Amino acid sequence: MNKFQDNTFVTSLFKSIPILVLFISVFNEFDANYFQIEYLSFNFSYILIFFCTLKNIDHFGYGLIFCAGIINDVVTGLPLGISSLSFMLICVATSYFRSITLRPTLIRDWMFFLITISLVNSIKFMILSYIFGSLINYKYLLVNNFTTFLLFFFFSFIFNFYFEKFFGKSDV
Amino acid sequence: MSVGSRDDFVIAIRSAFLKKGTKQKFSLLSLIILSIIIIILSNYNFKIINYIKSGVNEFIYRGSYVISAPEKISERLSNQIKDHLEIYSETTNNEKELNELRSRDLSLSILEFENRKLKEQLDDYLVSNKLIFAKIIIDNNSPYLRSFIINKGSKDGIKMGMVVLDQNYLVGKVIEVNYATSRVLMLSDINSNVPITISPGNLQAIATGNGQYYANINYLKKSHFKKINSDSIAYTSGTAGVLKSGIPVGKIITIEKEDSQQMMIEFFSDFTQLQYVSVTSFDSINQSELENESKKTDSNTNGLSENLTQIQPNDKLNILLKEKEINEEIRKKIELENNELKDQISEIQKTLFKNEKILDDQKKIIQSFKIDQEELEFLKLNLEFGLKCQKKQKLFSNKGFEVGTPEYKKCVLNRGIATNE
Repeated sequence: MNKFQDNTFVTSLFKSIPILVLFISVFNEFDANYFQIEYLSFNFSYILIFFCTLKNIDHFGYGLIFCAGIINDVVTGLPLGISSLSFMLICVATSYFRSITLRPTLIRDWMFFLITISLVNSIKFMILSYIFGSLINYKYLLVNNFTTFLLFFFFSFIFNFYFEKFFGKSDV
Repeated sequence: MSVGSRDDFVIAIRSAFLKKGTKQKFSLLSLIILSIIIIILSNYNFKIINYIKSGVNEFIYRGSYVISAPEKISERLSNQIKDHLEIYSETTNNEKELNELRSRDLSLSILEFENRKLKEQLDDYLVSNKLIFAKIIIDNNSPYLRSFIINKGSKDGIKMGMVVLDQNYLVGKVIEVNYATSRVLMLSDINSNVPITISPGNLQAIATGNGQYYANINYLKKSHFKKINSDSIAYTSGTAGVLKSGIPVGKIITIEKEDSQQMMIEFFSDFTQLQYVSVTSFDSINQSELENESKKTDSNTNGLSENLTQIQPNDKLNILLKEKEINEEIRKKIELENNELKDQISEIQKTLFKNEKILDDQKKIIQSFKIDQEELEFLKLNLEFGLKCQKKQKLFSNKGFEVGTPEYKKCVLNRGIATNE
């Protein structure tokens, strides 16, 4: 049950937290992608975008995700538009998955997340490699992909807890 | 695949790309097309696109700086605490080192002078045009581009290719200039190539960043690697003409790999701890300027420099010994002066103590004088108003106070008006 059903402003604020978190994560130079620890790097933005677009959360618009992608590119120094395209491809995947799934389960979402990020990362790094001539560290790429996949399960619990605690259901 | 399931797939895909739903304002297809257009346009070097890109960069860098502020503050705080703890142990070591360095300082200044003279002869004397100090506002450790953003741009005179230094150590060069910000490519980036000289041995090579914290030594024959040891230091060679020769880059270290050893350059500057840098470019000065400058320094040092280039090593040693003697004399004089000053201080302290005692006595006298004056005032008023305040021996009259009581005194001081208290 929605805890703030009487207060539309607070409801709106709590619903906006995921998009704010996304913007903070892309604006902030502290990036989970580039931890200094070997075998610990993950793409938090992918997890958040996949989860929120799959659950069709309010205030988590495609336009804002697109802007977040542009900001991410500028901050990380990637060619402009690359992250936006990756984020949009994740949105396409979640939109498709939402329309073909009748009874969603966490395990199914998790497996589909692996396929999605693998595909999106492949497209992203193909563009970086073939068009922009960047060198690709395959070991880093695989570790990042796999860690992101593993951590999705953990973050799903946190996000589900957040939405169920404050709004009584996971898709608001 | 049957026709029905293929239709379902097509419908689902079409809906994913085109259907906005009630919660979305943009269709995914339009945003994907927009992303592709941005990727293509950002690849071209049009003036308008560059302006827009620069504007966007400017805005986002500022935003990123603001949002990263709490993290930076906490990081700075933890660093400060760490530094504070390290300072004590460092100070004791520094004291020892300082004593050693003081003795080396003299000989070094002579060597420096000789070095400068030799460079003048080789016409390799480059001067930095203008030193611009900048603050690092964004430092993203992206594995694709080892770079950081500084808060100075074209309005401050930053140009492409300018050299970035951390104190005297080389950090990188400017690769992107916006109006108020610039991007600096660090030496550790894989695209960074710097011509270096490895000393001792005067070996020429190219230092190429490995994308981590070190630089590989390239274009150096395998046979030369034997000459390099753990004491070797890499300086810029100044071969390309962009950099001044002799800027310290890093020291040579040996990294153990699985089945081999690899020599790499460990940078002097810790790129993870950079906060402020200086940006400069180097231009060679012509011979006449050089001579003028030389004349100035010559006049300033009273001809000492000329004499030093002509004198022999034994003479230098004699000069050093004489300087040492002079320093010893100065030290003794200062010690004597110190002792005298200490005596003077103790004398002054004694006088101060005496004066304080006198002051206390005087204060006591003043206090007693005040009390006496109050008493006199009371006696005067008592003569005039004493009767008014005294207790009357009348029946049914309760007015007045007993003589000697505080109420009586108060009444007299109030000129016969009794208060309710």
